[in-house]
Amino acid sequence: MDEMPIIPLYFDMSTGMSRTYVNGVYPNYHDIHPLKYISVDQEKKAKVLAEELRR
Amino acid sequence: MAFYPYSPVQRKCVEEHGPNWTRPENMVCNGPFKLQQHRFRERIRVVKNDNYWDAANVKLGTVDFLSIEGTSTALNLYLTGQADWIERVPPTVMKELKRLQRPDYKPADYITTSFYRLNVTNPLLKNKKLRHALNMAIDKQQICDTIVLGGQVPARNLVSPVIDNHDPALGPAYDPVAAKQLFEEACDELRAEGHTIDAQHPLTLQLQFNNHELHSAVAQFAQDQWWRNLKVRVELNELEWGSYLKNMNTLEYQISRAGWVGDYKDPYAFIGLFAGDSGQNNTAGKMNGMMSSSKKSATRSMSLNAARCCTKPRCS
Repeated sequence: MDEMPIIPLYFDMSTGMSRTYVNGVYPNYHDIHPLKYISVDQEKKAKVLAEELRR
Repeated sequence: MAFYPYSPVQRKCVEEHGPNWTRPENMVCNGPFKLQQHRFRERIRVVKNDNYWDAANVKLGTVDFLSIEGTSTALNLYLTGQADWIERVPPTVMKELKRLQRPDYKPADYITTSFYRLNVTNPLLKNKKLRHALNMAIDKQQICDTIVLGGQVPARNLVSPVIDNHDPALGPAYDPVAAKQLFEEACDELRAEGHTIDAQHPLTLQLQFNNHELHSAVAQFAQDQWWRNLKVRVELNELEWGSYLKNMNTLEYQISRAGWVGDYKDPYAFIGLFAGDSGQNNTAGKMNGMMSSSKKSATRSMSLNAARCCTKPRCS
């Protein structure tokens, strides 16, 4: 860091959100989530969204 | 080999279509999904690729990547059920999400460093004391505590702490008094080179960043600190991604926002950025002897770490 060609600011965090009815999304330090392993539980999705709408 | 620069592309397709090979009607794809449409500033839609070798285990039929400007708009779509997954929430709601203990909000360590590049080929920024003064005049703790708010940690070096087998050399901490003193010395040197710097002509620099509310907020904070602590005037230049990249690759900037995601768990994933042979990535200047030696030691352990990394599946 003696030459200081950069100014370090901060080490980032992944701060996204994924619905609980989405399966196969796991936190990892690359914030990479291969779509091949991801699925949507449609039944749970309908239930969760209907529930939220009532509130 | 799972690293995406190693993903194969079909030669015939690229030769036949040239730069248009990425258009949905032309692209040949061997991954689990294929591109169906790309509507600029609206969405990218991919559909399941029936020719994929493991198509039987691909569960989604269609995936839409929505192009949305502003994390608040994205959050709104998410909360109203129009998006199932969002990449980043607005910093302003993070505290509330945490308080609510929502099971769908779990900030995670990310092998990413946010930093500003200083163009060392610039007549002003080639002055090392000036570069140090600019660094020491920014309170990074305050950036974390008042702007980004997601549990980020202030940085004094480039290599992400996610890489735990590395003992980095740290740059100086926030010290506005020492920064001001260094800055005065830098100004004396620059004046001797013929630059005019005085009360009527404050040293002026330009900071470029790609348009994003977060980058804009951090840039405004830095601008304020540089003026307050050094009396350096900084003009902000908010750009579209394309122009931002072009300036960076041609060194047409003085200070440029940057972020880097380490591609594998080794210091070289970051240090390699400033290697002389790193093509477009060495965009702050040139490698020095110190980086040369740490690069060698990192390369030695790279094969092992890269191999470990490759066992992780990646989107292609």
